Amino acid sequence: MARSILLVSRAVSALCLTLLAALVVFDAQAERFTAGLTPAQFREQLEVELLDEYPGVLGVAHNAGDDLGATFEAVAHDVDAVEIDVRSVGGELHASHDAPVPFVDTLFFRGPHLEEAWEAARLSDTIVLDLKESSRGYLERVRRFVSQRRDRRLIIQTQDAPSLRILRRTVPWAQRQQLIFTAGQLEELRNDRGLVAVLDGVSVRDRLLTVGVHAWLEQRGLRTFAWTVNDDRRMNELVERGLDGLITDRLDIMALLAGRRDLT
Amino acid sequence: MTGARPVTRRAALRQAAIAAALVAAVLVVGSNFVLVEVRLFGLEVQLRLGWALLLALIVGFAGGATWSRR
Repeated sequence: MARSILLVSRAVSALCLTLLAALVVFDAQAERFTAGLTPAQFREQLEVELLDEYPGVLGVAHNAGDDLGATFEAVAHDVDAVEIDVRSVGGELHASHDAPVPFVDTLFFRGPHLEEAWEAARLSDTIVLDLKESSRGYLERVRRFVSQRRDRRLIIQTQDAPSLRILRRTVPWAQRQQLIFTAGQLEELRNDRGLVAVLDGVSVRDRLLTVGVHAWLEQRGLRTFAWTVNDDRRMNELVERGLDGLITDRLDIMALLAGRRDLT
Repeated sequence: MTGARPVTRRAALRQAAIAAALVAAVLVVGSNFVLVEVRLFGLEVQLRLGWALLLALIVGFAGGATWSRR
């Protein structure tokens, strides 16, 4: 018995080592047989009807505005929109996902100014501002900033409902979206008709966006964005359902969302 | 002339565990074959996510094994 186990295990090990070696040697060819599809392969697998659906979805480069290099790269990939996380540091607006360290933030914080991020993304038609704070002073700074730059379509998203109510009054031209991180927040939204009336759309964590939730949002005329969707199959599923905005790290898919067919 | 060495149950199980680990490695690499950029202290290298995961696993395992022997 022990000898049989040993022999079978050795054979399996040898096979696996051969496969691993093949993946190293035939790296480019291996893509076709693994889950790593090139954009061109991805496009080939799409149903024709779905291929026509993709350009209707707004492709948002996830957090690309938080780093100028990433912003330039996103713009180079023809993204529909650049997402920028907005924080206030020392009374100035910066682009940063992570909160600065308290007390020493003005000394050590190195995130780009919001103005720099905005300028870096100037070839993008749409900017998605993700508000990370909610104080009155902060919202006023954001209002002043965007009021001076009405050159592009602006989407503002935050998980703070009172901020969205204020923004409806102070920045009426922007599209307002409620950020949904948890099932609890989703439930709160379902029970708050007043908030639904204030919103133009919602930006939902991907795993919370079930068929039922999507249908509920659609019935209320809310535009639906999902984040962060990097899986090809999930993208197809959501696009087929009629998603409005896809927040993703997959810059290679952006050309498809922009309506181009020349993916490589 | 001597016959084949007897195979102990322990040796067979160890070989089976190695085989299982290798199967897992093939599955991990195969299903995470997208090209990603890995950055560390200013260094930037492009490699398959599966290889990066495997490398991290091996380095972590080796580090843990070394530490436990001290």
